[in-house]
Amino acid sequence: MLKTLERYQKCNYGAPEPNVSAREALELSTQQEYLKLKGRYESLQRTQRNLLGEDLGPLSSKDLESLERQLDMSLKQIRSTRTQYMLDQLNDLQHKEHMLTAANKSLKERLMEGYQINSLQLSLSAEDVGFARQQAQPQGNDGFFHPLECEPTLQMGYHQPDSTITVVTAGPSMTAYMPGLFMRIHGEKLAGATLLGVGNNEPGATSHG
Amino acid sequence: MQEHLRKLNDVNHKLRKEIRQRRGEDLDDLSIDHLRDLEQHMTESLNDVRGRKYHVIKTQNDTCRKKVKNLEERHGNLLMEYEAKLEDQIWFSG
Repeated sequence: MLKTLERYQKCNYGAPEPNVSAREALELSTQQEYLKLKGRYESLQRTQRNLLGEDLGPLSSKDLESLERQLDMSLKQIRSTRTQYMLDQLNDLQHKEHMLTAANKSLKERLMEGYQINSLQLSLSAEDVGFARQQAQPQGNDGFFHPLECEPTLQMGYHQPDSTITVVTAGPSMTAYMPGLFMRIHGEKLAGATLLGVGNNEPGATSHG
Repeated sequence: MQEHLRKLNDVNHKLRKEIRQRRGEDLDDLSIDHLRDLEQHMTESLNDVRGRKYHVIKTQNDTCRKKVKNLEERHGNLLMEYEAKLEDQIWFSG
């Protein structure tokens, strides 16, 4: 009995021995941290259950009012984001629709041209074809590229003043819909021009860009 | 005639008051029951309006998407025609 008391005294009131105390201190701090975390966890869980509309019993009317306001604001934000998302989607689609309609119209016109200039087509030089194209061509900024310009050097590029030959351009342009075509036509045109010596172009058919 | 006019004025006044209350004004002379009813009606209206809003946007979205799909298909076809035409020109012109 006495020994037990002695041990008790030593544990609680005795001068702490270095090794043992270090371990005890660590245990103590660990336990404190555990308790702190546990408390925080419980508080968070309570908050979550409240936000789900559960366990509302112990809440005061002030708490309830505040909770209601919180939920209201979140809902408003969610709905606003959702509506904005849908409207953005709609906008993009309408834009796409517009671009495609314009591109298709342009393509159709070019296809039509060809069928009207039937006999000329087979024996035309680049110059003539370019000229014919220019006449029938609408003066619009549909962004459609011109595979044959009517300049003797067989330059190729967009009709727009600031344009260069790029496969994919920023902003609304037709090559967004046919980059592959552009590259192919570009390459083939050069090859074709060099092979056949089309038009009055100089030996090295150039294209700027 | 006077009676008729008075009645119309009355109805007018009542309607205007109701509208104001639905805007959140003039709520002081409403009993708690009336307030509760008003709140419920307003909530229901809000849900109806919101539902209609989403329906309209969704429908427009779907319609546009279909149109775009159509246009894309057409675009592909036109491109093929155009490519063919250009190829003809390359090989047969000059």
